Amino acid sequence: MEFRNPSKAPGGWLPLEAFDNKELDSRAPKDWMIIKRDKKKTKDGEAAASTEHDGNPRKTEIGAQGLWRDRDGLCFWRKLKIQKYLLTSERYEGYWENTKEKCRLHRIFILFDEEDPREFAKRFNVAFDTRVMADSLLKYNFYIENMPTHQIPEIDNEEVNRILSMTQNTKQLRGKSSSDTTTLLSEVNFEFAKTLNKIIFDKHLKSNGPNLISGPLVLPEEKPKEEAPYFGMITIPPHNFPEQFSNFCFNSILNKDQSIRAMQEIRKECNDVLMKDIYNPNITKSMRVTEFKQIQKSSTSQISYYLKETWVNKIKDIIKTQFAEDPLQS
Amino acid sequence: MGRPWYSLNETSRESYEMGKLKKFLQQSKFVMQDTLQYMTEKSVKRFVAAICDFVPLSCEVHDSFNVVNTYYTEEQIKELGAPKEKIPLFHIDLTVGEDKRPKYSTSAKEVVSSILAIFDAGIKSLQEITQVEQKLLPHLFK
Repeated sequence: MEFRNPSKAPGGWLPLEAFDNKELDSRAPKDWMIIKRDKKKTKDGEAAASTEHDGNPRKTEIGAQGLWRDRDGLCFWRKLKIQKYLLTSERYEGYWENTKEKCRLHRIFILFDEEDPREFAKRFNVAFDTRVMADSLLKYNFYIENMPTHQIPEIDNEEVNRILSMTQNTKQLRGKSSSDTTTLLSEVNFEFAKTLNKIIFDKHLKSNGPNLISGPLVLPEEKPKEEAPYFGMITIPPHNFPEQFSNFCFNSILNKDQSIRAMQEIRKECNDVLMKDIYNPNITKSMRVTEFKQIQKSSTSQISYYLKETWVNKIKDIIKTQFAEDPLQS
Repeated sequence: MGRPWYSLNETSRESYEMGKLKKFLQQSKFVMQDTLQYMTEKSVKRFVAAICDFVPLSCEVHDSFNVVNTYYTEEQIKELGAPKEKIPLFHIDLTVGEDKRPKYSTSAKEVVSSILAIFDAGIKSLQEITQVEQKLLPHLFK
């Protein structure tokens, strides 16, 4: 992969980091900083003498290679030391080993010394290819959007009527023929023309692509068309419907509207209870301890009374009214 | 269709055990228990937060007249603009005891034990809630 001059690579005007697939990273950003620290400790233990030489305790510095860009925009891989990870900008901060200049780089431009370079290359490749594809798709859609539409036939009347009758067939819209549909229809027409253009463009691209546009396009593979189902319905394996239905009715409590309604009201009562407090957490002034006790006690006994008397009885009454025997039914 | 599924006048304990009403009541019981649990958790958390709000981050006692309480870290003050005025939770008097020595009207231990007692009383007040089942079908549960 030629990367001396990244801005000349296909799609080079798009930032590469936007196409980085984070899932291909073997460690989370934080872990890249931690693991090294642990290792350093053991290293320090092994070779205590060598660190004593330096005298001063070193900050966490993680060896890595980064993509360095010179004044002419040419890029080289150079050694650098990473010091920390910036969470918001998702950049690693460090400095170049040779110039000591500070730098901030995205993960995609950093190859940690501890990392498997093959994994990194894979990841870099994915980002690179995705970018090329994004670039092509942008161009592709740009071509199509800018094809002239004035010679493309409009949707004919019959189709317009069908669209109108289908879209306006709702409770709110029915009978309101006055609603203005012209702008919406022209939008539909525009989409229609664009689709026709796309078909035309696709056809010509296949037959003599290179002569048509400035450069080759790398487009994602076309999805194979799904096979049309033989039935318009879902097939269900044979089963005994009456038996299953009766089993369901026997076991479920959700087959009577009384029970559903009752449960709904019970839940409402319970939601009201959820809003309550056992203690009084709104303390706005200083008070004596006895006063504080009194306030808390009254709030506690209030909830206690509410739960034991009001709440339980309310739920009992809900069930009683909902399940009161219907003389017609029994 | 036979007997109605949710008969409140069921007189036989056995058919009640088999019937749907029991299932329904069981479900409502679970819903109620769930409600109690969540309400209690939330209440306790709020109570703890309310008390902890009065606890300073650090407290420097120079003498009984000069005490410096710090409630906010510098970052929090920066965020708030200025530290909020804090009031003390308890009002405690300085009195002369029976042995003619000065003392506080409420001892420090007492403050802690009262808060704990309030907490216990609150949890206790949730006990002994009658089951709906027993209220609804008194003839089946004696």
